[in-house]
Amino acid sequence: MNSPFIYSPLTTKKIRQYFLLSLLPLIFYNIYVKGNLGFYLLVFVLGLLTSLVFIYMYTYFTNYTWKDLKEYIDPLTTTLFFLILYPKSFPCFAICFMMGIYILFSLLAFKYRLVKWSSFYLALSLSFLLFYHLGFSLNRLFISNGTSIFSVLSFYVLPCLIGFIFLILTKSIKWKISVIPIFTLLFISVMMFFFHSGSIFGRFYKMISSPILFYLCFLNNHKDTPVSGVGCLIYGMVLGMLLFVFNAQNSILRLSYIFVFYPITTPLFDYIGSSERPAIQKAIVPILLFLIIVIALVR
Amino acid sequence: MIGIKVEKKKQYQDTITTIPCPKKITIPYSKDSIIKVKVKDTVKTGTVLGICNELPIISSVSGVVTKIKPNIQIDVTIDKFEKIKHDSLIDALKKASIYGLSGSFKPTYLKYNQPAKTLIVNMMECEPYVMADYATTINYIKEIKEMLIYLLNNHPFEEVIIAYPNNQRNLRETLTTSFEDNENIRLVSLPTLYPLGWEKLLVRAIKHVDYQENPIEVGCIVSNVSTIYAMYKAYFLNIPLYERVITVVNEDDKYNVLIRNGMKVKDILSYLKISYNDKKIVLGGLMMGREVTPNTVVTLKENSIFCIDDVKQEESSCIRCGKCVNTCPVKLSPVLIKEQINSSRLTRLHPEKCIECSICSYICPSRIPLKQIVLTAKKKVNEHE
Repeated sequence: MNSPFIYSPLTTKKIRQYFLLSLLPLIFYNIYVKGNLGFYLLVFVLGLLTSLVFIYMYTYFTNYTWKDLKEYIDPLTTTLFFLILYPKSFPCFAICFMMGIYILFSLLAFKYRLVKWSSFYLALSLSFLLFYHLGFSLNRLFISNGTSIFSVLSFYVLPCLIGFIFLILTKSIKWKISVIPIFTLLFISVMMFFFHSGSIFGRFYKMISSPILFYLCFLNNHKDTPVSGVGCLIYGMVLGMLLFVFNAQNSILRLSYIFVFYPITTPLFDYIGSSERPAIQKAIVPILLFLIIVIALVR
Repeated sequence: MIGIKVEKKKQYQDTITTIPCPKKITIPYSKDSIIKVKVKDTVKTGTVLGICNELPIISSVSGVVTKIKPNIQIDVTIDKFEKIKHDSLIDALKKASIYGLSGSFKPTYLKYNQPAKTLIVNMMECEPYVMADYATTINYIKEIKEMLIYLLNNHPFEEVIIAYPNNQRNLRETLTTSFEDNENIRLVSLPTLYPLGWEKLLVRAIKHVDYQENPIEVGCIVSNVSTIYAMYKAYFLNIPLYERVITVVNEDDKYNVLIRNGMKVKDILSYLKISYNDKKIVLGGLMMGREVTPNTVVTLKENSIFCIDDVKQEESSCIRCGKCVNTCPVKLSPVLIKEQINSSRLTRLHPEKCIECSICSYICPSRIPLKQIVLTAKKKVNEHE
């Protein structure tokens, strides 16, 4: 057997455990603030069924001959699935499911056979508890008249940051992917200050609303992000700009599509970030697809 | 990125235990060697047994030659020494068969044949748990100092830089006390990161320059501290290189032992009363070494023997965390190489630059054997070229 004979203590199994632990402050805070166990159960059962179908689809598609497809299959199938399943559902519910399935998929995709069923159920139930409330908050944030924005923000920012800091300390996530978009949004807020009156921090605070913060801290650290430092940097900056554009439009649905579809641009940032430049061909199709989506959303 | 911290806190021991000669010694040699001794010849410690790449193959024991092929086998008798005769340092390095003891095992005289302004003495010993260089420095500091002063006075070196790990107070005190009166010998402490002992990173960390093939391009010669001690013995004492200090680790027990070329792993472990049954034996370090059997012959190229528990690592799929890309000392992208392994675009990722330090496999949370994948890619690219 060849070297090495020692390994870093951090494993995917540990990352998964840390990820679940990092969600605990949010989960407990949500249960404390609003409790509705009957609905959780419904969401749990629906989520479980959806996830099982989803895993089946994933397995089916990963055996597909065009191997590159599997890298983009999870965001694509998630969205397609929800378009079929919930065509008329209200946005928050759809978003809640999209995100829930998405994060669960990422957790499972680490290695399906390594995931013990107990941790699978735990991840599932915890995630859906969380995502229901997240969806509810999104609804309040973007669809209500805005009076409750700050109260909702205060519910989520602190527990979200606690979980995020925990993940950084345990080196479980790529911090650049989360921090760079936040700084991009802050930069845009500062720039906006020069063109429009108003407080910089007021604008920034509004822009970096808790669901976006949640997305940046937890969801955006999944497996479909660039691998190199430079790739992460540019990926984060572009993401920050996109979040600003769609956040400014006040459309949670459009924002959610960015959440879901943005990872398909990863090969481009891998191409830019790699010093040796692997293959641009691989990046062209997803980039074109993403551009079409963005243009369609803006229009 | 100049490396990662593999061992939380390195524990050092400066005692050196001499392993007595076993009854038989096996001295391996390469196919292109010319063997000068015959079966039943009597040899002394230091006798030239043959020639390999213009350097002599030195007998590490006294005794009777019993076998020539595939390796030279000697039945050991009472120690008698044969010293070398030389007329210069280069001559001494050739006749004493001095090789770089840091792992490269290249003939040392080739380095000192070239004009260089800076001599960097490598004491970094970045392989985790290995402390043979440390023990050599602590025990033979006077000899090492004498050799360095000789090199400063008789070679065109403007300065000597001693690079040592910053977590060892004892070593720092020893070095400071020994070299405080020498203006041209500078001490540089560096973080204990892996693979900072690799000469390319060492030169970058000290001189802030990069080179392509050899440190001489930027006016530097890098020598391991054990090599400097071997040079001292060759030049001042006329003793050829036939023994060295290595580290032996078995769980919490750590030893520095003086071994002779050609001893078997089991000879060393048995003397130290280490039980190696049901354990994996690793020769050459946990990061860059290889698994061996108890009957494997230990040559002077090796710096350590480890007895470790056999723990299997289960591989899972890549989560694209990018840790392998961010830690690679030669800035390769192992994860991208893995993705492009069967592609014609593999050459653009330059897997041939890999130095086989194993950081990518070590750091990967999915336990993907990235080093093996990159080596496969390296082989493919080399064959293609």
